Amino acid sequence: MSSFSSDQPKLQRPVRVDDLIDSRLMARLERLDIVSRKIFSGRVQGERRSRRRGMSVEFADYRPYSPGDDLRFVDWNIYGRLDRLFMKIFLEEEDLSLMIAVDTSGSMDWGTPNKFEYARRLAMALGYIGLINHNRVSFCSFGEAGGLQRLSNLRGRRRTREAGEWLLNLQPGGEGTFDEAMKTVAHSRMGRGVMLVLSDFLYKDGYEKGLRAVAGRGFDVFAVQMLSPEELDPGANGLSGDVKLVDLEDDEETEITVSQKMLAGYRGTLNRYCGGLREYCLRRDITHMLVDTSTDLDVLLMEYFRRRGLLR
Amino acid sequence: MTWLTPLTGLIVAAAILPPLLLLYFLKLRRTSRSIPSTMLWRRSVEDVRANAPFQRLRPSILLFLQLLILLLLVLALAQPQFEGSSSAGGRTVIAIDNSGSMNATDDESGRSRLDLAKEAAVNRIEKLHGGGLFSGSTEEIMVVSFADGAEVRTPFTDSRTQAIAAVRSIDPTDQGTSIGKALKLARAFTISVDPESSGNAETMEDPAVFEVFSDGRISDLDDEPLRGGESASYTVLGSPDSSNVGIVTVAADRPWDRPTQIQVFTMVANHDPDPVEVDVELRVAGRARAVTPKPVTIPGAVEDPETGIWKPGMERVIFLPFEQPRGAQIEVRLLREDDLASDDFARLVVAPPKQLRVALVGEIAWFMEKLLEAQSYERLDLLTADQYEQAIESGESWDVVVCLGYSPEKLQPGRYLIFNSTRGIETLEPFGEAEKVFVRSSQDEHPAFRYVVLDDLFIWKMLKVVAGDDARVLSDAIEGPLVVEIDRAGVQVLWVAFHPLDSTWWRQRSFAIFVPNAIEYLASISGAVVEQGIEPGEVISMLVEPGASAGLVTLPDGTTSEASISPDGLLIWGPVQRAGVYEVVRTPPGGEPISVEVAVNMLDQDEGRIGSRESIEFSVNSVSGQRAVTTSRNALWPWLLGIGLLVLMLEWFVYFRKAA
Repeated sequence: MSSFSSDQPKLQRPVRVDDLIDSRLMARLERLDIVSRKIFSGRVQGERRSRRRGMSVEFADYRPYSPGDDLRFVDWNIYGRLDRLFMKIFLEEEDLSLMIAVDTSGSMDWGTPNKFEYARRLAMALGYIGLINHNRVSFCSFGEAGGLQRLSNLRGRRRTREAGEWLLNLQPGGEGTFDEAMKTVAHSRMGRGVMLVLSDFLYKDGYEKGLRAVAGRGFDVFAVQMLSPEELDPGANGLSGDVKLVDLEDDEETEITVSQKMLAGYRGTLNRYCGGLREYCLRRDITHMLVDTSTDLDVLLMEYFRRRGLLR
Repeated sequence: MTWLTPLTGLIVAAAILPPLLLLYFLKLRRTSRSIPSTMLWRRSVEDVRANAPFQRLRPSILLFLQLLILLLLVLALAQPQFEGSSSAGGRTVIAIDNSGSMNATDDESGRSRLDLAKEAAVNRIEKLHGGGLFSGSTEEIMVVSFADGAEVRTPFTDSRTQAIAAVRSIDPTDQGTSIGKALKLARAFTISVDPESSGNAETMEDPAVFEVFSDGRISDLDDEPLRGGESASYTVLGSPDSSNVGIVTVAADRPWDRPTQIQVFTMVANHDPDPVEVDVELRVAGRARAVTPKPVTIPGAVEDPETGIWKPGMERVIFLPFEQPRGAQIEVRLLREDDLASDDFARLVVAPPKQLRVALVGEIAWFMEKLLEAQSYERLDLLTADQYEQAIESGESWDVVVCLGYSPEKLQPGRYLIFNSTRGIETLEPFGEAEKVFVRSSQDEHPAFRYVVLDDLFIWKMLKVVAGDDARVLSDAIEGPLVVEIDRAGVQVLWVAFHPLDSTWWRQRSFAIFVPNAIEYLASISGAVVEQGIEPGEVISMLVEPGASAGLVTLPDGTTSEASISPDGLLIWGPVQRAGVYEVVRTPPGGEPISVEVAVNMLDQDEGRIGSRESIEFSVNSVSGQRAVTTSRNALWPWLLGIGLLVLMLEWFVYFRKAA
């Protein structure tokens, strides 16, 4: 059923964390990790070899020994008890900040599949990857409904439920406050890291200021633009005839009569808009990714994001 | 392709097409749809236009179909037709021949020429008026029918309906054909008072187009030239090769020595060049009495090489006398089918034998007295002028009054044989006397002149008169009429211009034949002996009892009509349109109703010749005929409406499909 249909059924929203991320997906995500090009640029190999150097302040976890690891970080007590080699991992050494910003404006609560729900599931999946890889994961949402909301500094697998419940509490609606939210996030950054912005980037006031605010602050920013199939190809998804289009955020009305020529004009406008966003991101070393919300989340994570270098 | 009502179509198109387009220009009632952001849509050109009060007209199948429907509707209202029509402009006189020959059914459809003429005339009127449902025209049309006389069915009118109704009201007749009266009538209506002339009522004549629908058998064409400004067209009805054999004379008589018997004479004419054989049947009171023992051969018609006159072949048929002491309706019928049925039969009404009452008034000449006494009249009164006038005042009446050297000062309704006196006869104007006169010609076919030969007649002295219009000269000399028949207001007179003693006639055999013939002829007019019958176009008139009432005429088709009876006892009805037997019923004061049958026969030889003429020739103008187009023109508007309905259904289907 298309979102253009007047008799659209009521959306079933997730109520449990399991609704956001199921066990099957969690199992597949175990093998993935977040990659930041910017922070470790040019010294990725060194980082892997000197991971523990000068950073053994706060113990975080163990991991199995692998050949080549520095024997100084072997926990010999464990070896004495278990007769197996484990490496001690210190947080300061592995500290990668992952900020996931979710757009909760009214424009996100639309589409089949719903963009907001897709963004929540994607945020949950990416957050889970960050948590299981002991990254410092933070969430923030921006939208009129609740203003800027944040959940900061989650680490470890056991914080998964907390992250999920925070996401479940998000409510979409209102006009987007992208610029203000990004400025606030940029000014209160807690270390370098990866920043994922999950939004449709349909801001009438423009996205430039917001992206500019976070681009120069040491974040490796990924602008994930999520658009529904109805937005990408409205003609093929049920938009026809003489219609009055009502903006979900500001109730602005636009009357159109759908014709092939008009649809072609819309597609041109959309391509120019997305192209403009991509070009803007490119100039500021931001990775732009356009996501069709009809894309399966598994495929998106396992293939698309890996191919684009966000995950490995 | 012509358009009968283009103005109507244009008006409707101007009225409904702009509103339809306006509806498409105006903003539509749109379905509301929520979307994440109108930003991208607003940036498209289409959005900007959609918000304007008027939008650019976009291609739409619905608009196309609706325009097509309206276009078909407009075209249908404009009423296109295949056949072109052109208005003659001005005034048109539709003159339709409804004479006897127009009853011929020589068309393949079996319809009469008159029916086809009426249909062609209606088509012509529709052409002149545009022929559409909503058409208006300034064309003025007058409809005239003509046979023996002419009748204006409608004066000049611009009403198509009125003109067509006038045409359809024309009934067939069995009369002869004369167009002169129709032309005079039409011309009378083309004269109008000049509005420019103040004070003096000057007249002006608007030229008219005469459109004649006829078979061309018109007797008085040679006498009727077209005037300046007049033009004529001629639509030919019927086939030039139609054949017809008809009865042209019928007579019945009771032999003087056997008054209970009836003998019937008839003459049959063949208008074809080839001889034909025909059986002739005699019917009495509706039952067959006799048939010719073998078919009678009627010689073919020939054209006189000198005069060019077409003379039909004639053959006389005489039936043997048969016993019929009572009155009877006699019918002679040709047992042969041809294209004109009206002249294939003739009827007579024979009264019961009756003895005549005759008076000899004025000079009681011995030769006349002896001659009348020799006839077996019921009563013969010999009266002086004074005795006659006293008898008239006392209410006495006779079947025939013979006046010798005398005539009453005022002729009462009745029958008179008057010799050598013009007193009381208004239609004769005397202007002296002539001497030593020979007979120049006489109408031998007249009943009074049957077996009368006047070749040896020499007249020493005669009255010279000028005969009026209602007088028919039966015999004349160079110096003037000798024998005149007058039929005027119930008075029938056979007038002789000289005294028998002033000629050699009184001692000739022809005189002894003429006087009884004349008395019998006059008596027959009154129905005293044999009702000879009248021809279509004539008037049924008979003397009835003064004060009689309820003169009711029953026509051959069973319909009835009321006849007028004048105070002096003259019953008049007519003119008679169709052949057949008419029953006239009157009721004398204080008496029982009396019924009299009058036979009307179409015996006109000219009408019997039914081959149509391809052109008609007025005295100085020749008009070529054109064949009547009796088939209706192919009107396209029903087809257009049908296609429009189909397109409407298609539009309905497309609309619902789009809505779904």
